Amino acid sequence: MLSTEDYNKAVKEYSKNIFRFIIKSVKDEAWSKDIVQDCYLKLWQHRDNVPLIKIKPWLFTTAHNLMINQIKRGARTVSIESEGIVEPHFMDPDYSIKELIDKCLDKLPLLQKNILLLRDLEGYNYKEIGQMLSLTEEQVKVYLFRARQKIKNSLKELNTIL
Amino acid sequence: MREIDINNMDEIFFEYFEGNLNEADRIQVLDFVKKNPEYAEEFNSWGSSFLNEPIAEVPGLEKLLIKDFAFSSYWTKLTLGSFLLLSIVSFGSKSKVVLKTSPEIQRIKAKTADIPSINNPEVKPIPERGKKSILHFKRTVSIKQDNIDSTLKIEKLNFDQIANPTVKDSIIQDQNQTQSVSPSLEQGKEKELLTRKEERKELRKIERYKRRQAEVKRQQEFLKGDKPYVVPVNPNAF
Repeated sequence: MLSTEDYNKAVKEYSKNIFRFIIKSVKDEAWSKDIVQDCYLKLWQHRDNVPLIKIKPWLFTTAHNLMINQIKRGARTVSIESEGIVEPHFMDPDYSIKELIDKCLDKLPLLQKNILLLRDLEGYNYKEIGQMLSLTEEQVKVYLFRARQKIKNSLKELNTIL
Repeated sequence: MREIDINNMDEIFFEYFEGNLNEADRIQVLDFVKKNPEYAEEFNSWGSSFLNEPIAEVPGLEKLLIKDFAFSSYWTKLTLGSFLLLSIVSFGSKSKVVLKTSPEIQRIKAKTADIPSINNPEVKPIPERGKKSILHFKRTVSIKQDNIDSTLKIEKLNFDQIANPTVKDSIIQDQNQTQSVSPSLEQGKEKELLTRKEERKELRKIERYKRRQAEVKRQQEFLKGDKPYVVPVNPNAF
């Protein structure tokens, strides 16, 4: 069972990671904070069932599910691609590679994006990501390959424009 | 690893940057890029597809999430601490008293043990059962002024110890005098009661006589015929 001290420790250790993971997907600070808050609320509610070792992956899974639910509701954001609007490529020449990648990341579907974030930023392996997102290792690898390929292609495009 | 060509190049580059290849395969990939510099850009763009972002500070996030049980635990700690402190202080004060009691004080205490008011000034001395307070005694004296002296005398004297017959006689006379006072009072009361009874009897007799007179008068009037004759329901009663 998760004690208050464990919970507070989880907040101190993982809240920033969860926030980074969410904000990369939703691109809204207030919304990201709301989702993080919901994650920790759920963690506290299910404190009897969450093992101490698996708090971090459990939080990421919850965050991913919450994001999917929020996007399904279509409450806040509207995908530019889904609306058929072509994003103007008026890029600032001073854009760093990080900002370019962020732009490319926005074009990815949520699942691919989350797999990429979990792999690159959190360092999870395919198996762990698969457990978190209810996917097989092969599925994770395939999604990751597609995500990287898209980013690579977008970067190439942007480089040619710039 | 299979041979690298334009068809599987992307997969192998992906595997290379994912770290899934062994050392020999890695060398093979690097050789391929060296030999084919037109794919070097492709190889580098695969490498730049990795995200790398440090964790940024989010102001107010931790404060928003953290359970503020520190406050409650602080209070529990405070209460426990204060309780312990109080218990220690009380224990210490008791031990100090024990240490202060010198043999001289103990001797004084032993002497004054029978006197509760001295040992504890707050405690009032409780009068023994049977003994009466001065106020009570004064009250009784004021009520029974006549009898009090005689009763006191009776209580004090012991007839067996008195040898002188004249003294005995005088005591007997006194007793008779005291005894004679009380019967006179009782007799007076009895007399009063008797007189009241007699008065009541006389009054009842007068009332009875008046009633008889009234009845006789009513019968005489009836016989004279001043009043209408009413046939009684029961003729025998007439």
